[in-house]
Amino acid sequence: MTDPDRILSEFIDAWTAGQQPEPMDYIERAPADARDALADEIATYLAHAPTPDYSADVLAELMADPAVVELSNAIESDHGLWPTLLPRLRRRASLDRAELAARLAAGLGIEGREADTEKYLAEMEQGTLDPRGVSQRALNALGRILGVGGQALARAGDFQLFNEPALSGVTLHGEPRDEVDILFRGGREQSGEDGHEPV
Amino acid sequence: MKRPGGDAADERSSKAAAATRPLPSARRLSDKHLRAIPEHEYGFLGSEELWRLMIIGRRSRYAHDNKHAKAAARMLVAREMPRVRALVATFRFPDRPWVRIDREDRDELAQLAFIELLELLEDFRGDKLVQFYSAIRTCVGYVCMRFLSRQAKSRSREAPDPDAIERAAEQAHRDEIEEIDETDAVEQTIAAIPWERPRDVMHLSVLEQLSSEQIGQRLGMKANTVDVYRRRGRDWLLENHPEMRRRIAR
Repeated sequence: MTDPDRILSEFIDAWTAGQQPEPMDYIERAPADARDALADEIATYLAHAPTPDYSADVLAELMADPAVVELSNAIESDHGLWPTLLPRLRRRASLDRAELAARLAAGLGIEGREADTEKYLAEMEQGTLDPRGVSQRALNALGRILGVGGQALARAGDFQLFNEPALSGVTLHGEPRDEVDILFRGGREQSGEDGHEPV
Repeated sequence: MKRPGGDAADERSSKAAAATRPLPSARRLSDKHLRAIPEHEYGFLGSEELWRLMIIGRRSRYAHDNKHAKAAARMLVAREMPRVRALVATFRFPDRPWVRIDREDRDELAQLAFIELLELLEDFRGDKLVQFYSAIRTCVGYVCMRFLSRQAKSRSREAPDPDAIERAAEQAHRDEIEEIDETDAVEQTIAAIPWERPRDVMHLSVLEQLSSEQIGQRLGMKANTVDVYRRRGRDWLLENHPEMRRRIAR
């Protein structure tokens, strides 16, 4: 059956029944020239559709889904979302931390300070660096390498769903001493920087 | 704006959505009752109740509310992850519909989209899940666009400018917050209409943009009866909340 209306109806039935239908399985059944419209229809439906009444077994499976577990842990964390997000983005970019530090140091014009940069990246990934201390310039440069916006990185670092932005476990470094310290601990907004640029 | 798929698809989608959303005057557990539900029963709650538990915990100073909110958040993420994943799967790049998200990248992007959604919560004041849902597709869209454009940029100069997409995404983020705030205010004003039927009709008409026929179908009454209730609700709003004039006229 290749009629897009009928395929959409079947998708809706499967969704409502809690079967977690795979959209591509349905979209690919439609004639080639109707697939984009069908994808749009399915997306429109999904944006408003009621959540199915999943059975207890399905719900238990969903709760154990690694993506769900990881995200739930991040939400409950009081260290913002960087510990979840940054290692994930780095893996997606196929970089180890030293490689990322080298590229970030180059992007920030602090070549020769890769070791310090790597140390700060490690603290960001572990949630032990105060996100509010990291300059927007550093976040923008990091975002360029990792394929996300610098503002989005800032929001992820600051994110606290249930807690005040308490900073338990944050490493105490004392006053920033040099350019690298200032980039990672000098504060989000720093004069003369591209702090408002989106990347 | 006309969606692809024509009248039949429009009718089907709005029917599907309208058939299941709770009515404004439908029975709703009070916060007190909701907070008393033990965590092991959260599997029986709907997303709306889980969402409210999260909002209650977020606003409360009490540790037990906070603990319940975390359990509710875990359940909500589990229940809604299939929706976000499926939305990622349906994503098509504007003007480049052949550009798709690979299956192996879907979980990654679903998580990123979820994170963006939760970041919206930072500025979110309402307690209606439907307002949150309204942002889902936008968040998924921009997460996917950013991902694909940066991926493409590393391969070709012809790719869309990721910086421009990022700026559009940031603007969309701000727009979502404004829209959520405005919708929240409108919803509260409509909820103040003192008669149940005109209140329900105005809710479905203004917030869900349903036609008289669709509202009649939903409420089990004739379209001209719907029009009578709509007039009554509209008159009350215009008299008591003249600032609603623009929104009612939409």
